[in-house]
Amino acid sequence: MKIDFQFFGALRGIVKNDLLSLDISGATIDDARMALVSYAEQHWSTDHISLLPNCAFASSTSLLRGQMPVPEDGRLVVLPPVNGG
Amino acid sequence: MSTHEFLLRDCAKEKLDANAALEFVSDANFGGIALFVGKVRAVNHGRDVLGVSYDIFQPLALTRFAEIAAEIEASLAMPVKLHISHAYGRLGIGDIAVVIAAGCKHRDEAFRACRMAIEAVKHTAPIWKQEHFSDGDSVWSEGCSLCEVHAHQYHEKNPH
Repeated sequence: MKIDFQFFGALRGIVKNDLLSLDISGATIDDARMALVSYAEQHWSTDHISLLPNCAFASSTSLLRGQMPVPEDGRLVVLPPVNGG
Repeated sequence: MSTHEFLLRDCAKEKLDANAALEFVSDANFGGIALFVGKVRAVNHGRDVLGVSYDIFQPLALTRFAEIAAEIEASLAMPVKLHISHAYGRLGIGDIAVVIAAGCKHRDEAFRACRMAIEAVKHTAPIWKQEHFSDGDSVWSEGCSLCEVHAHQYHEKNPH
């Protein structure tokens, strides 16, 4: 299925308009993570790739854990480690 | 009745207002009001800072603020009024980045609510900080991972 990844924080600017569409095999967050890592290993710098293990995934309303299904609308937000305040 | 106010402000258009936050949490039944104001400082790790840019995933941040308020209410087991506001965009030195205000019956609960709220905002809300240094370098600050392993560790270390 097609997933649209949206990037924030330290991953801003990594792709045009901070949006990346990838076809993933499977339908869980872990599947989406694997697809993103595979893409990153071919296209991103080591510094950016190294951020991915510590990135969380979310819909617009909640954090999504590894075995949870990807949102039906196919939109996933990639959240690098946070540091507000 | 507990009520709360959560705001995200584009700092290019509107500044955060600590006085308005205090007014919001004031209540005839509350004798304790605590306020935390976070500002951009001029030096970090020995480097001169010109400013800070904040990035926020707004829908989830507002959801998280509401969860934080619910967690604080559950922890205190008493009525509390909470205000959380955070700026986004580029701020200069001395600009206000975050305001937390908590109103409770007594001072101890007000202090605790305020502290719990700012720590939770810093460590668990989808907000990112990029510092701009005087030498022209800009760096995204290291932060707290929201991945499940790290989140589990955080909650174990910060049960209250």
